[in-house]
Amino acid sequence: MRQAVSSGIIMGATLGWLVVLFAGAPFERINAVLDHIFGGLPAWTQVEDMHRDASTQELSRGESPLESFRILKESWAEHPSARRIVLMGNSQTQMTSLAPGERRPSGPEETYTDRMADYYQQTGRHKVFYRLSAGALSYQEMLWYAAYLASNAAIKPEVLLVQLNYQNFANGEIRGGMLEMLSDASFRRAVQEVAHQNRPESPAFAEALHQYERGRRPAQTDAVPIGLTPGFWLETAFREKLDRIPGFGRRDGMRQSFVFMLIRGRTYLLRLNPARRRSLSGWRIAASRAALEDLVALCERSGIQVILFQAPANPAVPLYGTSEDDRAYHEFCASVASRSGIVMLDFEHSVPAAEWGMELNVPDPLHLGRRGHRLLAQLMLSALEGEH
Amino acid sequence: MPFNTYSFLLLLIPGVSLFWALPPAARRWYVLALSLAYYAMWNAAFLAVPLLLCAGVHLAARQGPRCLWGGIAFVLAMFIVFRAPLTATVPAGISFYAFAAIAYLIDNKQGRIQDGSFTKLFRFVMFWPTLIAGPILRFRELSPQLGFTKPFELSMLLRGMDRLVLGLVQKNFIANTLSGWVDQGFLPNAVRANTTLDNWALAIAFGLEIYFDFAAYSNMAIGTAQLIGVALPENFRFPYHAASPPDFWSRWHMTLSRWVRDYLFFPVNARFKAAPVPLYASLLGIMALVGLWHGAGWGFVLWGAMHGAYLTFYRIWENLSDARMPGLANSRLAAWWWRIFTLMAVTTAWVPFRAATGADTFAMLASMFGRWRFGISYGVNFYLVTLMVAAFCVVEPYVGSAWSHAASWMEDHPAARYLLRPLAYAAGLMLFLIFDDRSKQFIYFQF
Repeated sequence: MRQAVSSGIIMGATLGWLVVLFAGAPFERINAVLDHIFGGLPAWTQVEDMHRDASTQELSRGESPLESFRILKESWAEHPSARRIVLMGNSQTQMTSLAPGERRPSGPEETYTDRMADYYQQTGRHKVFYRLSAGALSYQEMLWYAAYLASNAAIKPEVLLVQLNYQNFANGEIRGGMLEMLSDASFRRAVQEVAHQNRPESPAFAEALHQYERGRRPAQTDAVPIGLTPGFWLETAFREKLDRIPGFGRRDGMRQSFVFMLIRGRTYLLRLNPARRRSLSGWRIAASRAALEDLVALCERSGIQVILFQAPANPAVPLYGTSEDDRAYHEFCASVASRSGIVMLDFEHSVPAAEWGMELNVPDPLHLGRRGHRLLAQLMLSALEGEH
Repeated sequence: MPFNTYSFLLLLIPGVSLFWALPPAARRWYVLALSLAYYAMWNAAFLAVPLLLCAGVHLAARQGPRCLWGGIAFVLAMFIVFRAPLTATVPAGISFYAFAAIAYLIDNKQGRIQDGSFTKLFRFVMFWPTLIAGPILRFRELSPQLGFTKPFELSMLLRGMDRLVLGLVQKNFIANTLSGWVDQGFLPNAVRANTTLDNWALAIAFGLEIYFDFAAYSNMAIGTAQLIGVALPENFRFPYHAASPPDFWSRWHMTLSRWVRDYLFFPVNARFKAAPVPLYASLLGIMALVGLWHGAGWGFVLWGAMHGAYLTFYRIWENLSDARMPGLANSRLAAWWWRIFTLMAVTTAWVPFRAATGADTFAMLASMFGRWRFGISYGVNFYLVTLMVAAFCVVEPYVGSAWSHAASWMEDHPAARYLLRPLAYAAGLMLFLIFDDRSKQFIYFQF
């Protein structure tokens, strides 16, 4: 009996500690201590309260875009004669990392894309602007989005602004949240076409189709059809119940904090900050290049004007591993533009180092401060004047 | 319902509590009922498969030694029918319980089975902690424990929890984290464009992923069995610390190695003792068969054959060095050479095991061993995390030993037992929960 009581105490104490750990957010605390020791900037400099507007932004950031497209369809239907502009880019278009000296936010912050949307709104609805961005959006995903827009007349733009960014060429695959778009039969056919073309980006599309099919029949391995089993449904029921327990839903946030803790360790201790200069090679860059070329070709076929723009880069953070990487990258971008006779705007050196945010205690390679966004909006609007 | 699901873990608590509340005679039937329910969670219709297999094996065993080959043929036929590529779905765990059944038949022929009643055989095969992916057991080591006559002891719970939580962390925190990168890196297009460093990193990462994935499953099986007072044999003992290819196989999937050694190697060895060439050929053939056991793919066969070649190479070295260079055979230099060779050879063999096609395998091996290309294609996190996990592998035995010391210290200090040990469990469960990814299955469920 005594042993049984001891067991009960141990199990109870385990559960109690688990609750304490979940409530105590240990990784966030460790992060705060590390920031304090190594001089990281306060968390509020990475602005979380960003301007949100479902009629000008894809709010799910690639995690569940169908609902956004539904709203976009309704929004654009109200302005049938307006010229439609879509901008595709990565987190630079949707995030503010305050530059040193910029004051604490007092309300939602706007990025340069929000300012562009405001501008077009204020100038009488002749043009409607929409931002279709996600963090680390790959060129395969841009092609994916472009194919979807091209196959849906109600949300097909006249102008597509495509952000070019050296680091993004290292990204690949189609994120899981975008798979729901395959429920559209005409889009699925377009994806199947790409998947069967034997292009460098085809495996990413084929894998996305495979994942989608697996998702429709719940997950299964080759050997054990978990998805079709009573165990699968029982587990689903348990998870649904557990997710209702207060605090249990913090798991994703805790994982993020844990990952950020590792990134801090890497940055503070190993001096390997996330945007260390590097040379890109391998299949991802080949797939990214091919996806960008195919995106331009697809838009050409679909009557969408493509404008490429070189994203600004922080002069304090060298990105290219070697001067050869720099040259090859720019040559490739220029060749895509010249082959198709499309416009390419170059903002790479347009924002001075002082207007960029800080990441932990090192200059942020990607994200602009408040003034940086303002400056870039002005530059883009004036450069685009007359281009579309 | 794998061990790392919420439903399994939450049902385990009342399941184990009720087990200990029952009288020993009722526990046997209770565990059998739990085992059947557990198997039915995969596919209730397939409950007939282990039942039929046990019936066939029991009949063959009752006929005496002369029916040994008939019984083995029956088990192999069922195994082949259900594992054939044409079969849409495979009864969970058939690769594992088929091996246990063959061992039962051979042990029976050799007179090692005393009480071979059908219910005992069925309870042995269906024992749920080992049913789906091992460890592969012998009847004589498990069956006596299935009487469940031991009284409850706190140490059973503690040892069981130690292993269960360790397994949960190994699976969700380590193996799942690596699998994301490995899956991307082994995509056909990726393989051909990867640099030399990428391919080595990927081979190492997969070696670590499959180790932590399978060791996690084994730890959870051992821990779960321990909760009801059943001691299972170990399945892994720091395999990447192996000093030679045979040493690797004495540390990797130990219960399979034991099975192969006892039921294949030893009989073959006895036959070809004085004839090295047939012996080496049979070694290669047996290891290729071990590869084939994982699935009908030539990559598995090549993996097995490569290990057969390593074992043969080592045996030739042993024979030559013992006879001609005894000083060198026992030198530190030779020991280090074999240690490094084993690590590299095992890592290399993971390439055909994981690559999707033969072309991918050769592209990757060519890049690793000759067609060198420099640079890295993935985010620096991949290389750092792989390095960290590899470093953990190096210190793993010391961590294990430190935990054993800490655990015995906690036994003598009740405050620590009731506070620190639960804290360690909670920390492990927290990592399990926050790195949980339902879509990631155990790799060995495929085999």
